[in-house]
Amino acid sequence: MTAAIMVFLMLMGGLLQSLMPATAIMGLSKPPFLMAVALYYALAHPRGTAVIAAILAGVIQDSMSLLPVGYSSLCFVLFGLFLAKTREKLFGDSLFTVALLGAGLGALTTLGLYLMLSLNALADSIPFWWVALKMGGSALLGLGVAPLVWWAAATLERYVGLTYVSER
Amino acid sequence: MATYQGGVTHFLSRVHKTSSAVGNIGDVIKERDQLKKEVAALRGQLRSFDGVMRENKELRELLAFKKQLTFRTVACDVIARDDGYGWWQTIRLDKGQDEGIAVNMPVMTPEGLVGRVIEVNSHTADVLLISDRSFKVSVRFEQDGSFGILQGSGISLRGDHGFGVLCLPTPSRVDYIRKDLEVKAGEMVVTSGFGGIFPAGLVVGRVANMKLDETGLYQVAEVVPAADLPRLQQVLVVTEQ
Repeated sequence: MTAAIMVFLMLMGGLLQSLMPATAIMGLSKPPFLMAVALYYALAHPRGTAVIAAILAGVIQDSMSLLPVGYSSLCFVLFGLFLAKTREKLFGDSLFTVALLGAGLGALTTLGLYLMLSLNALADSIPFWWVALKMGGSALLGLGVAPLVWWAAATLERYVGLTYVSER
Repeated sequence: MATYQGGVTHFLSRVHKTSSAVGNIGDVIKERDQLKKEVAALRGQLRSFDGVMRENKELRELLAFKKQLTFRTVACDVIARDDGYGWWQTIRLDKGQDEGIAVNMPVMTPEGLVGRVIEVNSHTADVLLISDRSFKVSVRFEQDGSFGILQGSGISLRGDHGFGVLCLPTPSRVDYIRKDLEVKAGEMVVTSGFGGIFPAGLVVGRVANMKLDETGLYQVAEVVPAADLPRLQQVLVVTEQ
């Protein structure tokens, strides 16, 4: 059932992320629904499930964009593992914490993608002010999207009889 | 007597008509509401008709332009307007490898150059727009005849459109133009044909402004793209030059 819920959340996240418009003022960042799903699994599920969710979310995100496949997965897995390790020290059940983590991860994922693009000479023409604008946009969108996805995912899992890690 | 009878009849007739009208007021209101709905529906149809007419006009222009061209092109619809993450300025077309489209093919409209194909799948193709910072093309100033390399400058964040989905491009730049050359504002900029990707003579845009660069040794031209990049609907991909 966990796998079915994960696939459903990924597909919905991918669909919403691709349908949502981007604005120039936010560096054309999209609302990071897939990152929020990966964040939910990093905080609320065992480490192995979190890694699978991070890889899946990254692959879907990269396949919807022109980014080389694997870039987003690497970012999500690294941040997911870090969060899975430190989640006992965080108030992971608080929507406020989730919102802050969503904002932080939104900005850091954008920075991570930029660094990987730069290493492969794919971001030579992108000025850093544009990256900073994208980081700000991603942070703002992550702040709004992460608690929403958290609430939806937790509600769905409770509805089908699954309890997330802090309740076990 | 007859006059009196006529007057009474007229009076009774008016009373009858008035009472009938009052009695039918419910029907009149219903009829009015029905007519309002019909007017709204017809206005909607008219608006949709305007859209169809506009699309028809654009397609006719595209077809006429296609017939004038000496090289082979494939007409495509624009089905998406970003790269999915906002790193590059791209559009996605509804035709791909199966329709003869390949990487590096030029993309244009009757107004001017749009970009080049950077990725192709079986039935879709991604196009890097001339407004993207990584886009470069060798150009020629039509009147002056001098050459330069035009580079995209990204999108503009000024004005209300900063909040919109359809972002306006910042004018592209042509750097390292000799100081003694007299390039005037309004002059047409076309592709030079150097580099082998773009055929010579495709309209790129018009010079909006000329200024000295930071070193003071060369001029820089700001070129406004001729193609209406934020509102692209149909484009032509040059498949054979």
